[in-house]
Amino acid sequence: MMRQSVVSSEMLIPALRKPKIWLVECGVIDNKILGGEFKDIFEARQCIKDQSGAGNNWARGHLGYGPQYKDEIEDKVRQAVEKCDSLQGFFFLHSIGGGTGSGLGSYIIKDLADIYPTVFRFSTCVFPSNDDDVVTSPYNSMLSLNVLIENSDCVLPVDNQALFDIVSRVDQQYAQKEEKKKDIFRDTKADHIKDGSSILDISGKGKKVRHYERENSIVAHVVNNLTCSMRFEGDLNVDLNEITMNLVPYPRMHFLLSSLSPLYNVLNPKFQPRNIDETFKEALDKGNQLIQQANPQESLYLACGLIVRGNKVEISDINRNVEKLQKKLKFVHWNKEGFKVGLCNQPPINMNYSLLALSNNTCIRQIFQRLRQKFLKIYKQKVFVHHYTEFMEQSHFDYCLNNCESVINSYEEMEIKNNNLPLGGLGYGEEEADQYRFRPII
Amino acid sequence: MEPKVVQKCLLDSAKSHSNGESLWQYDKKYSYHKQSGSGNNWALGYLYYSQEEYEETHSRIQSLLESLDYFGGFQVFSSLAGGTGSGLGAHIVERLREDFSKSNMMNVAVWPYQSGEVILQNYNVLLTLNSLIQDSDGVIPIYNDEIMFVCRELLKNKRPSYKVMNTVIAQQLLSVMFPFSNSTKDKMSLWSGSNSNILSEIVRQLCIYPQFKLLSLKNIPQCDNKTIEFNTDLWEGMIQRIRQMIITNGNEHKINWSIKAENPSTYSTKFIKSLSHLMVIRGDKVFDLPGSFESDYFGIGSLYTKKYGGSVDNKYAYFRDSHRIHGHEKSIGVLSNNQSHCQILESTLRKATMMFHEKAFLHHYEKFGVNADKFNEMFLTCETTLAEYKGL
Ligand SMILES: Nc1nc2c(ncn2[C@@H]2O[C@H](COP(=O)(O)OP(=O)(O)OP(=O)(O)O)[C@@H](O)[C@H]2O)c(=O)[nH]1
Ligand SMILES: Nc1nc2c(ncn2[C@@H]2O[C@H](COP(=O)(O)OP(=O)(O)OP(=O)(O)O)[C@@H](O)[C@H]2O)c(=O)[nH]1
Ligand SMILES: [Mg+2]
Repeated sequence: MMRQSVVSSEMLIPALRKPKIWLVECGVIDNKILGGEFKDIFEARQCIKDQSGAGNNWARGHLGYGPQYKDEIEDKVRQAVEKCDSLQGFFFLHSIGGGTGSGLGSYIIKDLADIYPTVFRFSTCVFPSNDDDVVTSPYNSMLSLNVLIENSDCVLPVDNQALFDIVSRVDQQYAQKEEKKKDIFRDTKADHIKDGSSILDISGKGKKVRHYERENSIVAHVVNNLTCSMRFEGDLNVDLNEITMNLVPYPRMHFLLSSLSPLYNVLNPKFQPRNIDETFKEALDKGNQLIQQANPQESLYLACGLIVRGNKVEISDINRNVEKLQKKLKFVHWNKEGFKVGLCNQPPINMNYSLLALSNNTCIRQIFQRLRQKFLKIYKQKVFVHHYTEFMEQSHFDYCLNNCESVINSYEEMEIKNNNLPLGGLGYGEEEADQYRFRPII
Repeated sequence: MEPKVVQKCLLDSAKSHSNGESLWQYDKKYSYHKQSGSGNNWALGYLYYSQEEYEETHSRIQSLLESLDYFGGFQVFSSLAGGTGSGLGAHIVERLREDFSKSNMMNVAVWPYQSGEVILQNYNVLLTLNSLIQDSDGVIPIYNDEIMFVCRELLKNKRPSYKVMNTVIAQQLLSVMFPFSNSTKDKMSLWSGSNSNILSEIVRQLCIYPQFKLLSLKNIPQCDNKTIEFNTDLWEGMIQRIRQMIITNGNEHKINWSIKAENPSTYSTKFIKSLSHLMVIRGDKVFDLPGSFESDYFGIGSLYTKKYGGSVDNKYAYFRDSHRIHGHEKSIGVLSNNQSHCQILESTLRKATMMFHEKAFLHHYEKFGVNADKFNEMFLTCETTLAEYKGL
């Protein structure tokens, strides 16, 4: 019933795969995971089960199951927390289109915010794809988003559509390369398994059915890179709290666009990574973003995090590329050098290096805008609303919609403000700088 | 702060000690760590980790001091951009100043890359400087950009690691800080003090005015060990070069000769005026140099600001040491108190002010008790320091 987890493990696929599981594991270095089977990763004791899901109803998850399981969940979290000598944060992996992950998930986020106000809450949440089969997903997503805006410290939204697109692009590329072989899908998969990048056996199932294995493997890599500093040493460690600290300039603008590079290697080891400079360039390409149609290079950056893993990468490689990127990207005028870099010495399995880019970019509002449209489409007709009003006031829908719009607006305003700066005002020209001269506030 | 970071330091130093690369190693007894860093949050380092951490470090420092037979002062190394080295570092310096008010206190502070590594670097740099300017005797900023440049252009290392960069930093510092051992002391009538405590000398010579505490370090040669044997420099050429590096704030790779030291009519805003210098000349036969060698090049009034009067002779101190350092037959290191930091301080201030103007990131600092008042104080101190230096 649940897909949340507070884990730092090499492989997070099962967290997304195995339904009806609530996982808690503390954020400490845990290398034993590397060698073990999945079942060893997650403690059975930390699993909370229920006979049925939330029926794709946010309100049932949030307001029904939430209070019902509150004590049990808090108890298990406390047990896990007590084992930690350095609690880095709570990590949530959930979809926001369904009922449980979205409803109960957001309930827990809120609950933990009350109990552990100084511990950061990270959320990697899956936004529904365009042809999502859950009819009520726009409602659920909107209601969840509201909680994420108010109670999460940092959110990495992931768009299922973008994941599908990337996977099919990789398959295409692969097909071009390996024209001779007929059974493309099986072949890629076989490589996969042999190579250990993805260990899930999905044999005997057709291509049309969505299993999310490869999609989830991308997300797993994101989470994996994000948390690598906790597990391995590096020249420039980046703790989880450093990410929020550096990339979130205003409390409500905490949605980060993520992208991986080299990406093909994640899904298919046959695509060898090119050089490190290429990797940096690719990371900010439109096609690599985990949100559909988001193009950070055309929008405004508030901040950008680059987390590099690799044993042959030096700080000077990063620095050289940061200088290059700086010329290419558009940054908000008060944060022209808005890069945060990290370097971990341990590359992911089967790779020489890997880069995770986290962008706090105004283009992220597109995903909210799309959600808003989908929401309004069904909300205008008030379909399914009665399932929700069983648990909550209808006005809560309007409240959440408002909240979503206010976030969209704040990103928009940021862009407008930046565009309206006097010509050359983006630089540090003497005259413009004068208006920013410090004057003590008395 | 993180156990793995501290342990790696201890381990690396023990490793290079046991395989003969270095003569010393860190003593675990005097190390201290917590479970996590400060997440680049200066406020977290400065205010949140404070009481308990200081007591822990204080007791270690105390026991270390008791084991020494001679104590010259504190030399604190930290970066300016992060949260622990800068925030907690500033806090510790502040407290050490209270507890050991008579000891010398010198800070070596690593300035982040200008292209940006930590987004809050400008806030963190200024907050730290604000503290250090008040509590330390002198601060020697080291610029990662400059060190990188030295590695690339002079050492021909296109992809230097932190380790390589740290070696360069250590060598630069040693060019001045390395203890003098005057085997020919009788010849050293120039040698003023009886104890060879370089920190005291630095404080006495360079840190006279409370509003001027930023020191800058230049040394030559910076070349690679391999090219040492081909080094046919004359002392005269070298001292001229380093003087030019100082007045133009340049480095050895590309020296700008268009500004003339002796000729005040070429004074431009680019000319770096100094309050004072401290010079150490090391190498073979240094005592054969004429007695007026240093004064010929540094005893020139146009190098110094006129603002505080005084005789030119008091504005530079120099020491000779007949030992080679890093295998160099001849080498010169100069520590100066001068205008060289103005440019970077000004641009850092400007960037931080812009960010402050938009109130960006302030909520992270407020969470740990550093509010707008502290920022105002910080801007005031740093703007004042900048203005004082520019006014020289
Ligand atoms: N990327 C990815 N998306 C998934 C996965 N499983 C489900 N989804 C998406 O999640 C949404 C459906 O929500 P679920 O997470 O299945 O719902 P739930 O949390 O189990 O809630 P209930 O079934 O209502 O109890 C849809 O948008 C799916 O596309 C997965 O393994 N990976
Ligand atoms: N020259 C040099 N600079 C370094 C080194 N390590 C870190 N830096 C610089 O230090 C800054 C980052 O600060 P850190 O010292 O890592 O931060 P910290 O003191 O550990 O603080 P937190 O991690 O925030 O708790 C950046 O500007 C880095 O370039 C090093 O070994 N040599
Ligand atoms: Mg650190």
